[in-house]
Parts: sequence; structure tokens; C-alpha cells
Amino acid sequence: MKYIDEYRSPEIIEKYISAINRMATDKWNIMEICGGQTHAIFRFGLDRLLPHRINLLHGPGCPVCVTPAELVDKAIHLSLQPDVILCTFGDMMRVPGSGSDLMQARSHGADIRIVYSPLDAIDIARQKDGNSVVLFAIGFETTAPLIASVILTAQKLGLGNLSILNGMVRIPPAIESLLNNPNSRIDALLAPGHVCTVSGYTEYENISDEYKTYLLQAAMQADNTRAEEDAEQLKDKIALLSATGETPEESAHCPLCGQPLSESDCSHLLSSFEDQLQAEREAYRQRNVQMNENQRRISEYKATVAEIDRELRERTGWQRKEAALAHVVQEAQEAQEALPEAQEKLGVVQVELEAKAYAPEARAELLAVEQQLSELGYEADAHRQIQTRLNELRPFEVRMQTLREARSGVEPGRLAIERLEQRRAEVEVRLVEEQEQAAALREVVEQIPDLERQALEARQILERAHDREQQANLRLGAARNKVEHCQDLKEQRVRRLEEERALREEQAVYQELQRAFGKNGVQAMLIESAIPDIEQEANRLLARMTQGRMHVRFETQRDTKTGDTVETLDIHITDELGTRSYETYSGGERYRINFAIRIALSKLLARRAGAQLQMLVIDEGFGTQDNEGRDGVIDAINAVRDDFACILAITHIEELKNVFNVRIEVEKTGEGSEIRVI
Amino acid sequence: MCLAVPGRVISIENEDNLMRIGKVDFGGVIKSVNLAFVPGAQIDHYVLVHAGFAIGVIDEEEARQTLSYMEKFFEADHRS
Repeated sequence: MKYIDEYRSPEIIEKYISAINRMATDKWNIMEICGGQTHAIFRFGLDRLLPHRINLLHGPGCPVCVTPAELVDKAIHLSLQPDVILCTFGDMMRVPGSGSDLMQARSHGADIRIVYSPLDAIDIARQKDGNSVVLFAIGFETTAPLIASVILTAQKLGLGNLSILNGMVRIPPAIESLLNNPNSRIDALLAPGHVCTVSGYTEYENISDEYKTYLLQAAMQADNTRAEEDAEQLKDKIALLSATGETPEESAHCPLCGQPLSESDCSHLLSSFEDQLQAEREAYRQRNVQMNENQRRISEYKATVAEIDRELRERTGWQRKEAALAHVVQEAQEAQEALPEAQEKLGVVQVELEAKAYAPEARAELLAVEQQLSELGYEADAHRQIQTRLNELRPFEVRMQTLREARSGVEPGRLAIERLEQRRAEVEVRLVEEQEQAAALREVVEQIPDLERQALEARQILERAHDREQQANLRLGAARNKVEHCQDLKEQRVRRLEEERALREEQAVYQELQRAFGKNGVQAMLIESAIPDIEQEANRLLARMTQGRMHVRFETQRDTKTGDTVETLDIHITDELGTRSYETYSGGERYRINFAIRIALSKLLARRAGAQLQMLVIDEGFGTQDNEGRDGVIDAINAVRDDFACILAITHIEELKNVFNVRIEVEKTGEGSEIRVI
Repeated sequence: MCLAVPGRVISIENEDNLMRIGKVDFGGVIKSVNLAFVPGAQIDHYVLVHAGFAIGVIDEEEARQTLSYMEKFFEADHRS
């Protein structure tokens, strides 16, 4: 935006900041006067851009902050009056008075309106002509003309219901008070721009001049004090040089080489010191002259200020008088202007009066009335007498009226008396009855304390009973809950038992299955069911072959050292010497055992396959048998003969041939093998 | 409340002495403003507005002068 962007250009601001950084070598305390400046400093972060050496002090330039608590109290008091509307700038709402603030007053029902412009108060006063509107006027020179404009506008519009609670303040006295404070460390002020827009700069130039002079004065005073000290030192040095002692030690020495100074050196130094002293004295004198001049200027300023103040005060008085006189003069002038016209009118009226040329109709009526009066023979005296008599008699008319009213009231009155008499008799009768009742009741009443006591006791008993009932109910409820719970549990238990039984059955099945599908399941089951059959059949055959000497036993489970049982297949054979392992038996014995078990196994397999084992082929196998053993084998074959339809024994042993009745002899010849059935 | 904001006059509606009213554009926000204190303010002038009243016309010459002071300041600073 024009006139704003130019001042907010980052390039320009950077240039300024770097220039300030270079130039500000000392510490500066700069006070901005105006709240708007403080606002801008914080809004744009100027305090953070500036070097630390520049210390910004925030001045008194916020009219809200400098408003005294008593004024806020006044505003609160006014706002709480009936039919009063208080208009204020929004900033004032939370400013504390001595007890509360306007916000609280509003919450207590005060009609407080926040206005943006003081002119809004005019609109409110026009709309609410039944209310008294008060504008809480807070502000500096910037706002003062606005309030003045409101007053003039209200006057022009003839608004009688608008008043001003004046809290206007001026800036320059505040600045002077700050600068006059001996503790003030302000080096520079940022003059309030908006205030200056209204009031101009002149006042601030004066302040600047006056306080700059004060600062100068203080600096000169310090210079003079220092100059006095310098002069004292110079005097000492001159005294030292002038002292021409008797011995070299007492005379002056060179500060560098320690040699006594020669006379020419001494006089040279002396004249140089005296020149310096002279120069110091001259400067001192000049500063004194300057200081006196400054002092004179200050006095002049003060005198001027006092004079201006006095003139201002006088001028205000004169202005007031002037305004009053101007008013009187204006009134006189207006009267002067109106005079000839009024005189002219007066002449015309007088002429009309003299010529009796005024109001012809009214005068004709008057004549007619006068004529009527004479026709009526009206006598004024008789009229007056009658009038007097009439006035005398008027009270009787009133009394007559009263009498008439009284008469008309007599009959209803009598009836009323009769009714009342009757009512009285009834009441008396009832009174007697009620007295009797009262006596009876009194007796009852006498018993009341007793009854009350009983009632109290009864109530206590009742209460205790209630308590017990309540407790019992509680216990009952708890017990019922428990019972229900128990029933639930019972049902649950039945269900669980049922489940358990089903699960057990299932478990048994699963165990069987587990065993069956286990590591050796199927074999174990087969063996378990087959072993007894084999054992039995083998023992039958073995008993026949050994005349009951030998016995075989299969063991499918064996106990381990750890106490478990493992699957196994051990064959225990027993003869007259006891039970031994298979390996310890002779070949023949082993053959018989093998033979018995093989046949038993074959028979079992055949039975399992569902076929009848009808033919037994014994291929060799007699070689290991001794004679007795061979007999045994033959016995064995004979023993099982009935079990088979046909037994075929193949052998090379001649002795055995004769044992069998039916033989097929096979003989190897040069032309091949020959068979013969015998 | 003591803030004053610059804006551009875009119309003047009432020439009455006390109630000289005009519309002022504050960078897009347009408000009705009392122009009684700035009788010289015309359309397109920039005014300084405080609580609904224009309290001053921004003098173009003065603004330009301030800007030129800035320039001079930098030149001087540069030389030193």
C-alpha cells in the first residue's frame, strides 16, 4: 500500500539495522511514548532486530493504562444507575477500578455498550431518547477532537440525553514528569506521531531544547570538576620543579633516567606546565560562562513557560467571558433587527383599535346579546340576591339527598338484622356443641403426650423393624442370588458330567486308535492275537514229537531296568533241565522246535487266508537228526498226519525210505533222472 | 485504541460541516469515516484514521522527503 510499503521494505530495514549496529557504540535507553509505537515494535519484532545496546522503554502512551481507578469507579457507578447506558471503548472493559471492572458491572445488569467510534454514542442517544447516555471519554490529544465533535454534533441535534464522563489526558506533562524524575535514565524519546498529527511538534521541540540543556549542563559540571583536579596536579608539579634543593636528592629528577634535571630543563618544563594550567583555566572559565548562559536560558524558559501558562489560564477566562458577551451581543443585535418591524405592527394595531375596525362579527354578536338582555328585563340585583339565597340553601340539598339514601337503606338494614339474629342463634347453638366437643377434645388432648410417646416408641420399633426388614431383604436377596448361582452350577455340573462321560468314551477310542496307529501298533495287535494260537499249536506238535518233554513259550513284552515294558519277541524253551535259550539246544532239538513252530505258523497263516492247509512238504531237513531224533520227526509227521490230506517228505537218507509206505524214488542215471512209484 | 491507520479516500458522501462522511479503503477493507477534521481531503488522498475520524491527510511531499532522508542517511553512512 502506498506510504506503507516503502517503510516496510526489508531491504531498507536491513540497511537501517546494520547502520544502527555500526553507529550505536554506547548503551542507549530510548522511550517510545505512544502505545501505537509499542504495538508496532512488538508486531514487527523491532526489539529483536535492534542491537542489545539499544534498550527500548515503553512509555505511558496508553490512555487506558493511565486512567486512574477512581474514574473507572465513577463509570461503574454511573452504569449501574437505572435507565443509564454507558458507552465505552472496548479496551476499558477489563481495566480494574478499586473494587471491580466494567465487565463485572455489565454482568450485574448494567447497560454498557462498546463503541468503535465516539460518534456511535450519538446514534445510541438518538435511538434511546428515554435513557441517559454517558460516553466514557478516554484518550490523549488524538481522541480529544473526536469527543469535541461528539459534543458539537449533540448540541446541533439538540440531544438532551447525552453526557460525557471526561477522562482525557495530555502527553507533554507526562513526559516532563518522567524526565524530571532524578532516577530517569532516558537518553532519547520517540515522540508520539498520532498525537503530533493533532497537536503539532512545537511542544516537543521545547521539551527537547530544555532537557538537552540540562544534560549539557551536567556534562560541563563534570568537565569542570575534572579540570580542577588536573589543575591541582599541575600546581604540584610546578611546586616540585620550583623547589631548588640544597642537595641533588632534594631537587627535581627526570622521571625516565633518574638524573637530576638541569636548570634549563626545569625552566622549560615549568613554562610548559604553566601554559597547560593557563589553557585549563581558560576552558574552565569558558565552560562557566556557558553554564551561566544555560542557567539563564533555563530560567528564561521557565519564566516563559510560567508566563504562557498564566496567559493560557487568563485566555481561557477571557474566552469564556468573550463567549458570554458574544452571546449577549448577538441577542441584542437580533432584538435590534426585530424592533422596527414590531413597532410598525404596533402602529397598525393601535389605528385599528381607535377606528373600532376590529372583529366586526364579534361586535355584532355583542350588540345582539345586549339587546336580548334589555328585552328580558333582567335585574342584576335580584339575580345576585337569588344567587346568594341559592348558595345558602345548597347544604340542605345535600342533606336531603343523604336522608333519602338513608331511608332507602332502612328496610334492607332491618332484614339484615333479622338474618344476623338468626345467624347468631345458630352460632350460639353451634358454640355450645363445639364447646362440648372441645371438652371432649381437651380430654383427648390430655392423652396426646402419652399417645405421642407411644407413637414415638412405635415409630422407633417400626424403624428398627424396617431396618431389620431391609437387612433381611438384603440377606434374602443375597441368598436368592446364591441359590440361583448354585442351581446354575448344578446344571453346569450335570452337563459337565455328561460331557466327561462322552469324553471318556472318546478317550478310550482314541487310546485304542493311538495304540493302533502308534509305532508298533498294528504288528503288536496282530502278534498279540496270533501268538497264543501259534504257541498252542507249536506246543501240541512239540509235545507229540518229544513225548511231552519240551515246551515253548513266546514272550511279547519285557520289563526294562527302568521298570518300563518294551515290545519284544523272545522264545523261551523249556525241557527237563529247565528253561534255556534256543541257541543252547542241539541241532535235532532245534529242528524239532523249528518244525513245530513252522507248522503252527503255516497253519495259522492258512487259516487266516481262509484256506485249509492240506499238503505238507518236508524238503530234506532230517540230516541233522540222530536216529532217535529221526524217529521223533517221523513220530511228529505221524502226529500231524491227520491234519493234512497229504504229506510229502523229500530225503536222501536210505534209512528213512522204509518208514513211509508210499514212496516216489528219483534216481539219477546217464540218461537223466528216473522216477518210480512204490 | 490510540491506533491510527492510513487508508485511501474512495468517496465523499456528505459535505456537511460536522458530519463530513466518506468511505475509506484500508487495503481492501472499506469503512465509513468522518472527514470533518480534514476539510482538504479529497478522493484518492491518503488519510490517517483514528476511531472513525480522519485526523490527518498524509502529505505526499512529506512522505517523499522522508524517503529521501533515508537515502541520504545511507549515502552518508556509506562514505564514513
